[in-house]
Amino acid sequence: MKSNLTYLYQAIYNDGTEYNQNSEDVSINDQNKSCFNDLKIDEIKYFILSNGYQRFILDLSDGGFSINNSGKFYLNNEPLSHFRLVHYRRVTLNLSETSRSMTINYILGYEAVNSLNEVVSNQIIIK
Amino acid sequence: MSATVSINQRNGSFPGIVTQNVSTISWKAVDDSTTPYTAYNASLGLGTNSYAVYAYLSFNGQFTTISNVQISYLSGSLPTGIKLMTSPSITKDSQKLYYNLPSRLSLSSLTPNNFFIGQSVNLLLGQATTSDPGSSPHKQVTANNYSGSLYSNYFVSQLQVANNASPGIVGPITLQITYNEV
Repeated sequence: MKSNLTYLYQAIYNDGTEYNQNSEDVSINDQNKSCFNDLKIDEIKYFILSNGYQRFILDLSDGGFSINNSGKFYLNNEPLSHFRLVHYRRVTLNLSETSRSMTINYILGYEAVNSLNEVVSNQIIIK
Repeated sequence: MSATVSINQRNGSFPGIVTQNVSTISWKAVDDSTTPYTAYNASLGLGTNSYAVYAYLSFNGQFTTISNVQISYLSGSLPTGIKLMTSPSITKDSQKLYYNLPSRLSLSSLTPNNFFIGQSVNLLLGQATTSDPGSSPHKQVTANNYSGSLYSNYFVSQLQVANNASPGIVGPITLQITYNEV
């Protein structure tokens, strides 16, 4: 069973260039991989998930989230640095005797480092 | 266009018969994937077990990482006296189960897991390095360290019927497969 993607992502790099996930989710560099294989993870400034109506934006310079261009909100209550993107789809497939159903939740967040050099991870789940 | 996940079942003496993309798992007194569980010769008597079912998942298509694979018991109660036993969670390759001729002997030798609603079993993934992908090396795939299709280790399960169980058809139950994909 295969999933259809409701949300697609756009990565905006520090130099202002963009990468847009295609609807087939096939890597440009390797036809056997998904678009995530193309991302330059350490150079992303903004990561945006959108279904055409809703936009979830993560600013990887400070860990701020915004929804539909609202003001930013933060999931951390301590200073953090070295933000690194965390993004994946949590796929759920229910198997009963008579039917199969699939749901996809989109995970968007980051890993970062606090003042004690501990790794801190925060994510939102988009259903 | 993203990963395609399939459930595959192996039956019989090794290498046996692999049925790819089965629609359901049935626990019965026949070691195959085709005999209906309602068939007379598939019924389980009191104080007996089903044949162990060796199932594994395969992931094909375009993906960069698949990880955190679980099979859960979502819904559908089993009546008193009937238990679904499964292989335990696998967290490292050395714990995985190799394929064996399915048997009706109790799964007790496999340190089984009493599987009930809300319970999950973790599976690891690997590439098919032999004709038996379920027994090939497995690990948590969290980096771009493979290419091609991925296969889980075996999820082994068995229905066990106590002497005091009530007669009738058991189930159906709903199993749930979850995984992270990117």
